[in-house]
Amino acid sequence: MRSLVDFFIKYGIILFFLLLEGISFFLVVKNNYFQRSSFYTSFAEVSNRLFLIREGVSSYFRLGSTNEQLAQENVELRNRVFELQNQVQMLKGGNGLRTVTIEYPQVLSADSDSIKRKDPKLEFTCFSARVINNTTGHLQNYITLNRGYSDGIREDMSVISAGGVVGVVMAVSDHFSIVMPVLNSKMQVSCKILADKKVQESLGNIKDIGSLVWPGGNPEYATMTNVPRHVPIKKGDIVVTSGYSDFFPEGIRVGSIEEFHPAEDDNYFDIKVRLSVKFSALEYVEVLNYKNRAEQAALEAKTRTEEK
Amino acid sequence: MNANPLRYLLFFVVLVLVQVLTLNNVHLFGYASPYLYIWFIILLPYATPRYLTLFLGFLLGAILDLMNATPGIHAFATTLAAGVSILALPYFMPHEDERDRVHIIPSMRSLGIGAFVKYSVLIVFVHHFALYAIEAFSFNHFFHLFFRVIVSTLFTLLLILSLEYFKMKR
Repeated sequence: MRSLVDFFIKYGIILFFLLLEGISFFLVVKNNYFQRSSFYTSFAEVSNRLFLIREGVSSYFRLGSTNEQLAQENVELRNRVFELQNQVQMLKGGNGLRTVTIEYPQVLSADSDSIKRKDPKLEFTCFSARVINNTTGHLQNYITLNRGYSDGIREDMSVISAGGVVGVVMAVSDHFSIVMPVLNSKMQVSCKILADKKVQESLGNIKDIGSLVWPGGNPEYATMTNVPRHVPIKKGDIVVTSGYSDFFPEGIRVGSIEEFHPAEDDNYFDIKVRLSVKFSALEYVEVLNYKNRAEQAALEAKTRTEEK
Repeated sequence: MNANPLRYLLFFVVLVLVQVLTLNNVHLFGYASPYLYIWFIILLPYATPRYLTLFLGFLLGAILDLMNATPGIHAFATTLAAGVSILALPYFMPHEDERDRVHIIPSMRSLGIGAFVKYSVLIVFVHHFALYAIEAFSFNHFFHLFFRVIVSTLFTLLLILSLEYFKMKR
């Protein structure tokens, strides 16, 4: 017993050191649980209020570029409105070009009233939010938003901005939420490449789906892998989301191809993608709620368990 | 700075705020950030109980982790730096007998400019190396990692040493 006490007096400091390092190391390894823990979210409420104050001050200094960004977005939206108006006109036959009747896929329910249904994969609702804390210098970056559970934000919702894909909500507290952006080495986005229309027609429908990951380092570029070597791509081709994951809707812009070369010893390309979102100056984002996610996930999970 | 615990508490809070609210947003060459908060460990008095030094290191890192949403990374690095500071500080002390040493708080004046710079380089390097290595969790891109550590270390040292120099001249 005496020797045990002696041992602790002599080596206690080393044991204490190892204990603290052990706790830290455990947290590092258990990474994802950390952000979801209630202790963290309650502490984050406090620190996020601090970030909110800082954001309030510093946003004044960015008003100029924010206005510019909004103006640009207005122009884009207006163009889109014109485009859609034209399409509507055309479909109505108002300009005498041709008459087309649109037929939605009809669903007849048991109680015999037929409902016109939209494409279930397109049923999204949208919340706007502001970025109040944002890192780009780490390998695992996170973004904090000023909207939380009480505003309708839930885990796994997708986040986009005027530029394109931002990330996925990974933790929510009452008034704030944390987003895992593309600039996080753990994030993977299923993407496809929009090739030239001519190329596409001559080659038929090519499956050019790959996944986008961020290798760290420069926050302007990410890497796209798993694109087969036979796919014709060129510098400047646009990369958009594939819609295959249950996070993002199809066709949200991700970036453009900067350079590419065959990956070592296999049949795929290594593609360097210039991200269209400027993460270091991110201010306003939109959080998308995919209404049918639960349904889709449940069905997929059910199929998977039945197959086993 | 004298060894008044209240002043250290204030210093702790100010360093955390400065780090989280401003310095975390500075990325030199896109990816090297200064981590000024490690200054707190460097300035702990020689007479600080060893358990307290380790605990304060852990606490400092843990708070940074909570604010940055980076679990355990800062806590690991600061605890390691605190451990190294316990072992290394005696070697950088001027040769006086133990009774005088008890009152020493590391600074350019008390240790001498040369010794203080060497001590700071050691602590900052150990901290930054641990921080970046555990963040990357691999030595796969060792030279890239090493480059980040070096640039960051120089950046942090520049801040600490210039602030210390002003303190000495004042």
